Amino acid sequence: MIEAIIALTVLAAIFGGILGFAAIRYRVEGDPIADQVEQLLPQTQCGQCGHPGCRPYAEAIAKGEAINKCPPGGQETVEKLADLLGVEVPELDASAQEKEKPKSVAFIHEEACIGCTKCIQACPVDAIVGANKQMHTIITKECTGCELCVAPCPTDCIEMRPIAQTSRTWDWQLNKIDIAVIDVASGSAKLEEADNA
Amino acid sequence: MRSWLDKIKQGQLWRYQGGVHPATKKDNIDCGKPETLTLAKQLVVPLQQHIGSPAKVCVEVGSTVKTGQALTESRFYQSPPVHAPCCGTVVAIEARPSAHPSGISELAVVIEPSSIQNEHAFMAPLLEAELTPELICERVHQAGISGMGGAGFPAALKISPNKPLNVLIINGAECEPYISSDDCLMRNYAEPLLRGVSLLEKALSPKLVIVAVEDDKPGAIKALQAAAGDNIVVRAIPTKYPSGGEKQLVQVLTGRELKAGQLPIDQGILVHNVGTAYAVQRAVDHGEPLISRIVTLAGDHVGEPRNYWVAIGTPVSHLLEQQKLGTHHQAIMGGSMMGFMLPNLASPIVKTANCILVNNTPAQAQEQACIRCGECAQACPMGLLPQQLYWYAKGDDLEKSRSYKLMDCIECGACAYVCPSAIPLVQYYRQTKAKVRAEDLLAQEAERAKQRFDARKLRLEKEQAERKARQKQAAERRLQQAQGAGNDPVKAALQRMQNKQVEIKAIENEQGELVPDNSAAIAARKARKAQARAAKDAKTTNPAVAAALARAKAKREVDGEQSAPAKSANPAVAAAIARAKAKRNSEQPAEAEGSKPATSANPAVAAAIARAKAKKAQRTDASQPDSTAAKPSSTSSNPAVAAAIARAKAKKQAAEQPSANAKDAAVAAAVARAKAKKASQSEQPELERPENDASKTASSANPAVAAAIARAKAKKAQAEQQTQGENADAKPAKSSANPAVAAAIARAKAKKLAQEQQQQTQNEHSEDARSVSSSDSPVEPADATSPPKRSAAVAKAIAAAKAKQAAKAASSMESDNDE
Ligand code: SF4
Ligand code: SF4
Ligand code: SF4
Ligand code: SF4
Repeated sequence: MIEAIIALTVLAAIFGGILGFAAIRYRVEGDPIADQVEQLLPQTQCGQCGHPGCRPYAEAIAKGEAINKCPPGGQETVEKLADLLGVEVPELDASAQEKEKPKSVAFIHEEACIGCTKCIQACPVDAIVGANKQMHTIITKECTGCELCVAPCPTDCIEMRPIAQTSRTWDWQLNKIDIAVIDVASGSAKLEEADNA
Repeated sequence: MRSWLDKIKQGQLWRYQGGVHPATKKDNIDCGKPETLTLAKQLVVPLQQHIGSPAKVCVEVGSTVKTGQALTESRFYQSPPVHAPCCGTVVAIEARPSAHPSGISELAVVIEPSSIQNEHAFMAPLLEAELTPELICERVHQAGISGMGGAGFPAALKISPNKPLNVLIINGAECEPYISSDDCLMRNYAEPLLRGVSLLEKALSPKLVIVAVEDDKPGAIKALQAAAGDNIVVRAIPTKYPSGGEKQLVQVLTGRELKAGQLPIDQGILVHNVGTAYAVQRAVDHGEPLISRIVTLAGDHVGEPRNYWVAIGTPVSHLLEQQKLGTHHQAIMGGSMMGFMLPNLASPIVKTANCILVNNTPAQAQEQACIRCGECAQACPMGLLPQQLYWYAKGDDLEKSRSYKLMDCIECGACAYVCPSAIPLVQYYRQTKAKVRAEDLLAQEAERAKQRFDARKLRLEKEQAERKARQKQAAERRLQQAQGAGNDPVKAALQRMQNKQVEIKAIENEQGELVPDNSAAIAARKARKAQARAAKDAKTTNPAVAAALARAKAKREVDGEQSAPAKSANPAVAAAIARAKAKRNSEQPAEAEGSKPATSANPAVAAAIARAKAKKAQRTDASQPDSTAAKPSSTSSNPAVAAAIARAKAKKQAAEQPSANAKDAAVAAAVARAKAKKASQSEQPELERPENDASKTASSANPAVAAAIARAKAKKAQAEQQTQGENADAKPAKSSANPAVAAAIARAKAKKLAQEQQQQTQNEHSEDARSVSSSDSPVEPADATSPPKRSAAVAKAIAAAKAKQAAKAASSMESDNDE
């Protein structure tokens, strides 16, 4: 009996020591939840969630803010976040819903640009090149479509243009294509709705 | 290692799991010397016929090209160039329907062949003596050779030697039904083909070279064996679909199984198509780039199925004409297992197009539910579980699809071929794969955006630190100067003062009167006083009020500018008049406002009063008919209309000055746009104001982000306000479907409430205003987002607070009254 108590006490002390040591030695720096959440956010950095960037929103989510406020992420991101945090899937916030739209990138009508550099200051990812009193232009590949550059432009020459589909990003929805049958004899083409599915 | 290579040499073959035996349908296809197809009226050469990125166009519309002239160029092996397949003229460089199942138009060079085809711009043939691996590589790239079997992988990229190579496999398996272009090539061009193989051997120096042919092509095997030397092994492999797949072929010939995502080169093995080998021979020995290929034309509707030499860029419809086909047919590019229906017969033959199939559209068997028979799993050559993949594809479960190795699927169609429920499995996989790819792309983009965002933040921080350092340095320098000079600066200043006084005195003496001296002194004192007062004002006056004033001024200026030009012919004069007017107008409210705000204890109330006053002043301005000038547009209360008018005017102006040089016009346009924007912004003054102020609060350095946040918040506040307004008001604002309209209604209501409240407070007793303001203040901190530096000017401006205040104060007022 005594031996058992002593043995258990000793064991408890040893494991307690190990656990205590591990807690200090292998302490996780930062907020792992916020990191994971940030991984799932679209990184558009647009501020539509009410935070100045995706990281602050991730931190706010980790602190318990609603997960349905990111319009660029859409419902899919909400679902992923709910999955990660183990909560019910909420609907995308109503105001976020109306902002949901096809992915676009900014385009500067270069002839109307006066080179005020306002857009450069607004762009969160430095996707605009230009200099004072010089024409500005967008690096389409780097643009996240956050629309932050549109409002500051004094001449309203920035426009958001939806990204066109190419054969590489095509979604293989075969029954959406209009099959054209070329009439070789007459050289005219007529479109026929063909259902290949 | 030794024994492994020996085993291969001795002719041992391995088996792979799965695979099917569809009818080959090749017996009736004529594999004699292929006929060269005549040139079509127009050839469409797509810039990208390979995996990778397109090269840069180096011809212009209208330029004449010779056969084999490069149309694009690039130094990078992942962007092989394309070449003119004939002599002719470039008539267009534009998007044309691509040879892709989507039929999406992609950039292509359109060439109209000339009537005489006697010139070519081939490269100089390479001499045997000077051949080096690098030279061969470079030539293969210059000739635009990319994989001619399946995906179109740039050949130069594949043969630039970087890893030791054990086995080079030349793929002549051609396992798909109908396709016989490789068969035709091997039978008729065995010798040059094997010469190409030895060139590849030279470039890669492998330990063993195998040419693999399925055993249902005895003609090809015989021709190759007759031409092959000792160093090249020609191996017949059993006919089974899909033995021509890279992984399957490697496994059959070497017994090595490639793991998921592994390339054959990782195991010291490389696979090239026979077509590629032939093209290499043409490029090295004749300097001829890849401008034509053998294409099989077959199918139920084709009278004489056969092979043709077809120039790259020939429209498929032109090929069909050869057999009097066209009008109503649908063509399949590729074989019957992996091919795809061409959505547009104007699509061109590209480097990877080995077969055009014109079949009866098969009566589509009705797709039925999966009965879990497991046939597909038996057939799958990749060892996947097609029925599981199908299940997850239908449920859009990308995560599970990934874990079941969807991306390893080679889309061979073996599973769909055996499926008793006639489920078009591959179609499901393709869609899901596209989704997975899109997801990956998004993740990549997000990662990059994050990196750039972080980099920008770092940069801004650095810049700020530098600026601070500079400022500090400058301050120190000043200090040092002061100290270094000891008491001198002070003395010097004193000296200066004395000098001045002397000067003044001198003047006085000269003039001999006392009056001027006095007036000067008085003036100086006055100026000092005025300055002090201004400084004090600037300190005590609320910055928000100042901002409101500035905004009001700006607005009025816009109105003025809009109205004036209407009557004046000279826009510049008109603008000047307008500006002067605006200034005059702005002076009145400024005086009125300047007196009071400092007395108010609560800056929020002060700001509200200021804003209300500014508005009132504006309104009276607008309603008072100006006697000196007719103001047609300023009376219109709708800023949007004003903006429209401004825009129209700008346009008219632009139209009136067509002769003015382009730069002036551009500047004028820019100015007009800026004006129009400003005018349209004043449409939402109530909404914008809190935004502007709120942007100061946000801890972010980016004002645009702050503005966006403020906008989001304002919207939320509006929504709240709306619901509250509904509660307080009998008439619901919801009736309008348009949210913008709803917002406007809400705004108007809030304004009305605020006005009422103000009136009440003023009517009853002025003390009340203070009490309202004190009841307001607890609301503010709740909405203030950035606790660290929350200035009073900032907190009061937050939209949410304002909306809430208005509604709450009004309702409390009502209840007070009731009591
Ligand atoms: S709304 Fe979404 S994308 Fe935009 S900053 Fe917030 S989390 Fe990032
Ligand atoms: S270019 Fe404009 S839309 Fe694109 S990321 Fe930059 S600010 Fe956003
Ligand atoms: S904000 Fe507009 S006008 Fe100014 S530089 Fe950018 S694009 Fe040009
Ligand atoms: S299409 Fe994909 S799943 Fe079906 S048999 Fe071929 S590799 Fe397997």
